[in-house]
Amino acid sequence: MTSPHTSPSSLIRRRRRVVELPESDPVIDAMPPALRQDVAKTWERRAHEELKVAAAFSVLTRELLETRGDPMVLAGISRGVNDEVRHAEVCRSLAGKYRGAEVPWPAEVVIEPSTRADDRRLRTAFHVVSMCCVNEAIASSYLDASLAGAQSPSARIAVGELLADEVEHARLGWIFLARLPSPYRAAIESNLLTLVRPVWQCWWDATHVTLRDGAPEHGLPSVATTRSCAIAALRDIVAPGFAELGFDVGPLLEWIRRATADHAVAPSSLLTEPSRLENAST
Amino acid sequence: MGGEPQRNKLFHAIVGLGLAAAGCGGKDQAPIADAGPHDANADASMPPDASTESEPQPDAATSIDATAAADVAVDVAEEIWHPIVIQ
Repeated sequence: MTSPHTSPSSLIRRRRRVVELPESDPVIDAMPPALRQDVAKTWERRAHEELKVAAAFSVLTRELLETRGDPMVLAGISRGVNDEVRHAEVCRSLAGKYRGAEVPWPAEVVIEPSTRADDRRLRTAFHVVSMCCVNEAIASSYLDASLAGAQSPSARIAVGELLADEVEHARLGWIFLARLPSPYRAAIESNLLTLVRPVWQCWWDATHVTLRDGAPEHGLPSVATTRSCAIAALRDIVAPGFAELGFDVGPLLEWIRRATADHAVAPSSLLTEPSRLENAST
Repeated sequence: MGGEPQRNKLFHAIVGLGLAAAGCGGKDQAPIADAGPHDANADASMPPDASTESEPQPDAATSIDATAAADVAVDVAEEIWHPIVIQ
């Protein structure tokens, strides 16, 4: 008998291959050389970031294994490790298109998971919330805006590939939450802001961003758009999602409201209207 | 394309289909195979037939100490390897 948690088709993935970028790209060909190199550098850095996410998902995979996590979620998160490695190759390949030369595989990624002996199931739940429910939702919003602005056929293919997977990774968080026993849900509810704020802060921090105005036609939104995406994802996806499951999201909504006011974030309607994006790119 | 429909689309693709896959509401929504907002390449790894009754995870704790939970949350929030941003 098949358990709802182990539906066989939920445990498999159709054969995937690394998406191929077009041989020629007139949008890239028409770029100023200096911008072309800057965009190449950004996509090269993005390849390394994707490997960091792969490492993070590998930690989460181990935690789900150690805590007898939901099989459907375990299957999805473990596939996520491979997804993120594939994303690194997509970004590396795209960087090469802009560079006009082969770009090396990213540098090593070293992470140090906590060795604290606490409630492992609770730690796992907190990781799922922040990695999937929050971070991947913001990533989806960011990539959606990236795709809306992208004109380069190569960038559109690459961003579309990443977006499809990130939506799936975000969805895993809500599957996990929906099946989580109530004591764990209560612990998440009590610590929701603690978990959300650092994720938001990472998206807000532009320390490593070299193209602050972005290159929207090449799938790279500006810092301002990125920050708007972070706020919009929290307000329109994350908070309503928790509310749907019966969580008290009052404090989260109040924090979002204050963060939006404090940082004068543009309405999220600016993110997805092509005309606005076109204006932003000029 | 306006902002509101697009936001709803992402909410549906992420939360709506996630809860439906968990058997927690949303059963009147589109099949999971129709998921992602730009998902020509997305696969249907979480199938429509996964919309079955939800059941609690095994060995559920009956209660969790609030102070201990807050301590874990702070530690998770301070982990330098996580979260990671792709921008």
